Amino acid sequence: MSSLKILIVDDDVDFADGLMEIFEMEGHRPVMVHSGKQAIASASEGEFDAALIDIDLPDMNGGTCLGEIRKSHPDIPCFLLTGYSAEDVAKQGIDTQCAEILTKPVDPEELCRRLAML
Amino acid sequence: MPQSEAGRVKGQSNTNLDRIAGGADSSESEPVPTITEWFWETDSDHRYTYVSSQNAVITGFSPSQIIGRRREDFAHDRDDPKWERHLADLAAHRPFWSFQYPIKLPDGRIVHLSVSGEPRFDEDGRFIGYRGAASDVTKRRRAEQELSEARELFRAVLDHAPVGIVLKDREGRYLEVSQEWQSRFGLCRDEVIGKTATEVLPSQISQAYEARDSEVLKSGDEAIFEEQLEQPDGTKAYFLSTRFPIRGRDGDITGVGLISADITGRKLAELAHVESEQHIHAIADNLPVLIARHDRLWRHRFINSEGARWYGTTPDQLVGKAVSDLISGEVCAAIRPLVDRALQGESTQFSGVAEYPDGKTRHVVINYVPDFAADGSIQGWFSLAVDVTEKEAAERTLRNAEEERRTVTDNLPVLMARLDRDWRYRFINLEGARWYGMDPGNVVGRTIPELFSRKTVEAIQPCVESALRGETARYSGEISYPDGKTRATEITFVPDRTADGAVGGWFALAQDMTERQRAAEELRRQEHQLTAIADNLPVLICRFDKQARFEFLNKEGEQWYGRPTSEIIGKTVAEILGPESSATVGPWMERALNGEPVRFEEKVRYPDGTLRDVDITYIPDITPDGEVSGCIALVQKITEYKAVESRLRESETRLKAVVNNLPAFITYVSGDQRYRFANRVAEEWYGRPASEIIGRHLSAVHKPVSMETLRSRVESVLSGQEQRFEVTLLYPDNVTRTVDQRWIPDRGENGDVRGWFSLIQDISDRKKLEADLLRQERLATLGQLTGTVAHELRNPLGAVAASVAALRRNAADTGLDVERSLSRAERGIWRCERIITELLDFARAKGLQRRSTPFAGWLTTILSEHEIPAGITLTTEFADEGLKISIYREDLRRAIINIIDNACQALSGEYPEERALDREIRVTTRKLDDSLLCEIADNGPGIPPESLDRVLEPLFSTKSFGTGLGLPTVQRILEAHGGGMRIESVPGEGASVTLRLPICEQDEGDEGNVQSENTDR
Repeated sequence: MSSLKILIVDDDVDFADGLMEIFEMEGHRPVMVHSGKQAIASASEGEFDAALIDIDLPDMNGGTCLGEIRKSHPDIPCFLLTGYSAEDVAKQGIDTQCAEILTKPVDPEELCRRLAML
Repeated sequence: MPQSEAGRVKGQSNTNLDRIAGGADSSESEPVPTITEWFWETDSDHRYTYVSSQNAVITGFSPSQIIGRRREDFAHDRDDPKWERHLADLAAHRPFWSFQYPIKLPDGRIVHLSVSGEPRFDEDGRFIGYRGAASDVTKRRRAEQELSEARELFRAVLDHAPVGIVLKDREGRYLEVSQEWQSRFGLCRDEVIGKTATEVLPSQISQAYEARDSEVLKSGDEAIFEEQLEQPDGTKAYFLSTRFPIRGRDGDITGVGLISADITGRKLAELAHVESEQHIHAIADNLPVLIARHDRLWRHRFINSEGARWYGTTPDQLVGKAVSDLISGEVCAAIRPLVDRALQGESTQFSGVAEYPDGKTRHVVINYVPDFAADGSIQGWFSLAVDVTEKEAAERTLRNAEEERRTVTDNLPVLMARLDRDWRYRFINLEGARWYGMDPGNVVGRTIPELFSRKTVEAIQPCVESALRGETARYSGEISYPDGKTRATEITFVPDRTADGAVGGWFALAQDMTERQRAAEELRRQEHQLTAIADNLPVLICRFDKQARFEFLNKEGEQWYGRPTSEIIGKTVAEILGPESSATVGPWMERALNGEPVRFEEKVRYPDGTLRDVDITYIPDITPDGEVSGCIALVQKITEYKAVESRLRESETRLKAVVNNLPAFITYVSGDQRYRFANRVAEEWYGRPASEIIGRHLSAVHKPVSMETLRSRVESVLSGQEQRFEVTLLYPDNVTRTVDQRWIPDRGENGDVRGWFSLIQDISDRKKLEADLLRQERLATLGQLTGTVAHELRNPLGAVAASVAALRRNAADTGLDVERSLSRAERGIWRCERIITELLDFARAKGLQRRSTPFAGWLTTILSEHEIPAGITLTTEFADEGLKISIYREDLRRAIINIIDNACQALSGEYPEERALDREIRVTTRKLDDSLLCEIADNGPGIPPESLDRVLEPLFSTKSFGTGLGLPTVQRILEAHGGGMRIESVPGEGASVTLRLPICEQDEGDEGNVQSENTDR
């Protein structure tokens, strides 16, 4: 199993921290930030293998954030997380950059399996 | 060696004729019989020492005549240089083959011999003579010669014949082409021989040629075609080409021959001829006369369109048919002598009436003209028939008209005369002559000054001059006539124009006005009196003539029409009244003008702008001889009273109609609490007709329970206080209504309350709407709240889920037994998650995009994708499989799956034994008006009646788990579709949910979100 550098972007600190812990156990190297701006800054400084981005970030929506990150990581695999449904996201008119949308609470084990497949 | 000789001949052939003839050379076709061959021997001096016996048979020489002599001794052409060569061969002791020479036989015949020989030597090598064979080749030589001549001839034909000649083998390779053919295509022989048409000719031509060739090869029959060839200069050349099979000796087809003659000249002449014929036909077809050409047997060779029309058919139907078969025997007999004479070269004419096959009888003039052939013989005749029926008719009419004029003029009670420029009578009718006391014959030729006084002549002179200038003039005055009477005469002078338009004289039409003037005067007097009366009547009186033109109008009329009589007289009713009003009175006038007196009442707008209620009488004015000459109209305003009366009646009717049709309850109750009026709504609510309400006491109509409520109100209204209140009452028709009551006291002149009006409005619907609205608002607030809360809950829930997962891993590492607790925590997380989802589903107003969907197919798909627990059968039955309706697909899917899941849960419970085996969910659709009904029914335990009313209430749930938002969500989804749902259940038998969806196919505009496709599952 390869070790991935994963960018976790969520303003809910506990949620992000929960994922951090799980990913670390899996042997990945997660990095957690709590705003879109921080995420973009982190992405421009380092190389990431995957990203998990909350759609409802305090400073921008997850889609916009992903769009910025894609400038430095054009092919980065990414999951967008939301407390609503995929349909609601579509209704809000958010450009999801074709990323897969996962509804919270995500099953951590399932998420690990998905990441392992990358 | 004759064969080898023949082979050489063949090899030398410079034509390919032999090949095409299938090797038909004479040596093979006529094998030389062995009897013509004999053997010989000579000695060293070349003298014959032996000849075999056949020689004698063949030549007629006896051996003794030959032995000892030399070959050249028999030669008929000893001087021929070939002998030199032969003798040289002999001298050199060389063998020789086929040395040919003629000899003269004893019977004088010359025959050709062919000799071959080889030298003989003895054992010492000394030459001892020749030995060989000889034969008579006369016949063969002749054949060869003929062949060579034929070849030459053929060559000559090929080179000089003015036709294209081509020989091809079976494979289409050219064997021979004539000079003409070569020049036709600009090819020379060497380029062509051995090649196929495809190789040497343009493909368009070669394809056609080869197709025709192969047709001939296949059929073995000769084929003749007319072929066209575009020349380099663009003109067309025409050829008549004959293709024929070439057969070998054994009859097999070995090739194709073509002989093609240039027929361009003839063809062009022909075309020109056809064209000129077409021109002639075109002209003939457009002439209004029958033109036909017949042969000697009376058969049509040609007939133009006009002619064919007379026969009621088309020209092509007539060509070939004999005239005698088409016309009656009678006519036939009449024209036969004329036709016979035409056939003898004489032009004849027929004039008469004939009935033609098109059913018309025509007066025709027919010319029969002989049809001369080029050689001067008569090959038939032409008919040229002109229909003079109309001309004839016109002439007859003219003749009749003249006669009629005479009759008419003679019987007219007026003087009619025609005079020339010299005032001389040319014609005068009987009446005129009577005024002159003379016969018409005596008047004609005389002049006016001869018959009238100078004063009269001077009086009419200006008029005569006008007439002679071409103007019609009128004179009116008293004139003394030659019969001694003075007549008040009105004379009209009309110019008499000749055909060229010049005025050659004038007509005088004189009328004796004496009587009429007197009558007119009387009439004027009477009219004056009448007018005086008419003008003073307050009634419009007028008279109009048959054309509805005003002839008279009284003063009242002037007023109504808003203009003086002088501007009205002579105008038509339509002109004066205008289109609208004249349309109103028109039909009546028509009846009157047809002789029927009419009287009617109408509203008519008059030109003075006033709309009047009028009583109109039209009296037809009938002359003593029964003719309607016009009509007298009497128009009277309908009195004010009448108008008021009718208005009142109208307003009453209207009021009643309004009151009866108001969607409100209206009654009037008198002071004694008895009903005096009840409208239709009241009848309805009281469940009885007005007749059974009016006169009854309140308590006899209302239910006692209602009377309790109303009693105090009755007291108050009777004390003069208007009452307004909302109340829910059970009405006599057993309907509970929430009503807005308004009781208005009715006071008499002295202020006493005589009763009251009740105006009652059913506000049940409004109340319900208000309640619905309240519910919607509540739901919307609830939705917003739940949406926010649910969303906010998901983050901590996610954190908990991640933490549980982390805990489990840590516990596994440390060996702590916390799995049971973690599983419970996890179950709790996912239950929370489901509740949140349900809350969000409920909160969601509506889906993303409404899209036209083939419902049956879509439903089949979503049902097949949903897992049904084992033991439950799902059956479907869809009406109108192709029906498309517009739906929010994801929402509706959720709704239907929700109901299916409910049904599954219902079917999973405890069951009576006997029904445990057929657990079934039936999904059916059907169309009802403009809705699609989708019913999902299970045969489970059903819903208890006490729950049935509440299942749509949010948060109502009979399950130990669940939010109670399932069915309310379904309902909200259907409401978002503009549809609805109904839940029915018979406890113990099952439950059914019927979804109603409006049928409309329209897609909602794209909301600009590409993702809608993805989210729409």
